[in-house]
Amino acid sequence: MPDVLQLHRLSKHFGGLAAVNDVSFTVGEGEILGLIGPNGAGKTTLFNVVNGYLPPSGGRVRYAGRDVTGTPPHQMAVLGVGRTFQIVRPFPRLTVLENVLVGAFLRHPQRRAAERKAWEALEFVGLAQVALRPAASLTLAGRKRVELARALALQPQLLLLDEVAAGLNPTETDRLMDLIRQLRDRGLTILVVEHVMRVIMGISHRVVVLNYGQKIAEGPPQEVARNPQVIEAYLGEAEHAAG
Amino acid sequence: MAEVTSLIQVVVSGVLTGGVYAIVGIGLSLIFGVMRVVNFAPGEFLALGMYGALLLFTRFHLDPYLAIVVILPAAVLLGYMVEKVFIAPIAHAPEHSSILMTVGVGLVISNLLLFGFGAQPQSIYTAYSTSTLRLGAVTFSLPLTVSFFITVAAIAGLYAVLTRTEVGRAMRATAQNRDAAELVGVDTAQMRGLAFGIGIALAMLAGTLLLPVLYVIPTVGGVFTLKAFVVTVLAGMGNVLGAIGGGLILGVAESLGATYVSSGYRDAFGLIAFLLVLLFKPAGLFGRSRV
Amino acid sequence: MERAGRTLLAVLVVVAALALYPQLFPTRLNLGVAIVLFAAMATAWDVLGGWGGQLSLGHAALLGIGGYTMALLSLRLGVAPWWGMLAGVALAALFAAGWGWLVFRLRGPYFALSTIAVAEMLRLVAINWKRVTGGAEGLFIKTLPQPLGLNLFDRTVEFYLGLGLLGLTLLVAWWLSWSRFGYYLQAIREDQESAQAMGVNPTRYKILAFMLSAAFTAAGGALFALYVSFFEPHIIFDIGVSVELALIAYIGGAGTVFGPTIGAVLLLAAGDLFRNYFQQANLLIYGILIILIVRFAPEGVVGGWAFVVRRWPRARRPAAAPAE
Repeated sequence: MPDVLQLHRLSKHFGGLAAVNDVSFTVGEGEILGLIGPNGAGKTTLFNVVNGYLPPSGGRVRYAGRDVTGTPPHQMAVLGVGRTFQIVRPFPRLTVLENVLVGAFLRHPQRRAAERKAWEALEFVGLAQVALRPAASLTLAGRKRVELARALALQPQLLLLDEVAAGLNPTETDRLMDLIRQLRDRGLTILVVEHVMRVIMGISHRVVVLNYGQKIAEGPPQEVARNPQVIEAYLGEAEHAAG
Repeated sequence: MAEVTSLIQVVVSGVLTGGVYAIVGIGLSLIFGVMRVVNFAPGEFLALGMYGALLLFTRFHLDPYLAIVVILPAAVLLGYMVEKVFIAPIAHAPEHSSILMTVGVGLVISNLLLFGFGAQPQSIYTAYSTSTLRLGAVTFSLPLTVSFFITVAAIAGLYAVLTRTEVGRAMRATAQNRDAAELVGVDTAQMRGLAFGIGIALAMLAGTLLLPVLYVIPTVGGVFTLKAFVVTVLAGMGNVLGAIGGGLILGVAESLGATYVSSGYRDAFGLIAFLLVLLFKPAGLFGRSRV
Repeated sequence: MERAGRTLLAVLVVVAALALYPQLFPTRLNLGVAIVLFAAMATAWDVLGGWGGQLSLGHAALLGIGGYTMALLSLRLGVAPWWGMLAGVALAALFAAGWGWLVFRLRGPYFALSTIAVAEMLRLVAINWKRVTGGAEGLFIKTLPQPLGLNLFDRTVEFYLGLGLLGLTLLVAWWLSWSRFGYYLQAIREDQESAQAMGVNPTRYKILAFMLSAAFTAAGGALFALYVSFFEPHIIFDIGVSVELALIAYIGGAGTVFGPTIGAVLLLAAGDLFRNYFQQANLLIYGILIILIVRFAPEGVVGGWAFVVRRWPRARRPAAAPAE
């Protein structure tokens, strides 16, 4: 299994705070890698560094065999990396279809071809019925699926999903996990940041755990779940939340 | 020696003009700091202040410096109402909405002035309009000097209000972090209205102070809107104290540039500085923005 | 895509309808020329301001470049006005490229502020560079060649030239309404970070939009110079002109094909009407309208109209279906 994404000793500091500290891991082709950790563990920051929204303070990112450290986000999309945002941000005044169309235009500059691709992505995520509605009028679950469809319309090799399940009810979450598994079956590589443990445990081949910006564990989901350090990190958070 | 004197003279007149720029700039900065709204009509409010003082002078023979007592509270009230009626309802709209809204308010003001007072330049004559003070070989325009001290007093007063009073602390809290301010019980909507009121009052105060030395026409404000932008950008948007420095720098730079480089390009020096700061130091010359 | 076809048809209908203006209002040709010119320039402004969401309050600079280039080449070097116009268009596009490259790292109010500053700088240059520009006294275009026997000082000729330009800008807006370029601009306007994740390079597209906008604004500026034939920096580089273009587009409906045209018809006709009552204070109506639009119909007249139509009986709305 060749590596699609390699992080080598990646760091990101904000002032004196190390949001991401010396993190290395790889994601293999066709793999779903779950990235978990308590709130503030640096997951989203890591995403933003990988995807070029933030320059790293140290370390390298390699994607598909080339060094892409510091490559701007739009270039990453061209190279085949799609992403969703933790706080959903579809283009509010465009319709659902138009949102996805923007993504589809990347590989299909012609409107007709792009529109065909956009419909495909909408069918896949189950939004074809609301395609002509303004994106802002959808529920949170709906808007999350718009983002997913938009990222898929880029025809990416690697998909970065940031907290796709947050705020969804159990039924919606199940449907989403199903979608992600289908994507894996199509050969996509997926790096998913998730807070909802059930999702991570249900879909990931491997899990990387971050705490205070550092990698504290890596391995198959069941194994990681038994790791005392991981338990402590999460328990600490639970105590913190309770107190 | 004559050169040194004339240099001092140029700097002095720059500082005196800079005081006027500073006070309009402070108003703009306060509004931006608290509301995150760029008021595109400070000059129109300044013109309104000038006409207000003109009216008080011609009708009631009220000296412009005394008219301040009437104009300041009226201006705060006016600004507060303008904020409540026009700006508060669009608080959550995209930011260009507030730009267009204040442009519209400015257009309404200047055209109402045009309608009411006509386009012809008007001025008042007071005993001190052309008086000067002498300090050695350097002369000071009396009205500009008086204006400068009133400006200093106004700034000191504002500073005292912002730092010493409950309202001032609430306003600064709103500027620093609106959500947090609300959490500790600050009525931020009220603070926004008040900030706009004070900002407008400072512009109208500047207008009142300018009346003894400047002809007034309904479009007199355009120039001052630009100056206020330059001042706030030099200082860093929302940096109220920095606006004092921004105003003085602009006044002196213009004065020096007009005397020693080219009077035709007088207004250009500020604009060039403005663009350079925007491009290379968008946070302003004085670092982080703060109120 | 069906909708794009309908919009194209509507563009042709609008241009054809406006073409009747000189026959319908032969005594109001001045107003007619102003309407088509400002409609064209506001549509050009809208490429950047409405579709791209970058509020420019400095487009007078581009209008001035177009007007001055044409007039100066004609007066000083005897260059035919159409070549002068093309030169002005090219110069404005280049200028916009440099300007955009400098300022598009700025977001929000900073961009709007910078546009004002740049336009003011050009005005100062036009006033002070007397040897070339004639300074504050301005320029007077006295004689012009007559291509194909057309008198360029004739209001009817100017009207149809302006209408031709409006037709072109409407075609540009129509293209934006369905093409990748147009959607990329809208994506940047709606959410720049999100657009980047879709592979859109914001700086690149904003600069391209600015260049396109600048070129057509400059063409309008050249025609404007013919129209007024006497122009001074105070008129042509005035921030008032920049604001007027922005207000026309916004009141009509920014980021829509017909919004700026509707805005121009509405505002210039209203301004003309109000001139009888308010003399020079006729811009009052601009102020009142922009306040009302921002407050109650942020999508402009066009958006407000669409809102009314949407509330109409549902029969008119086609079911959402992929069949095109």
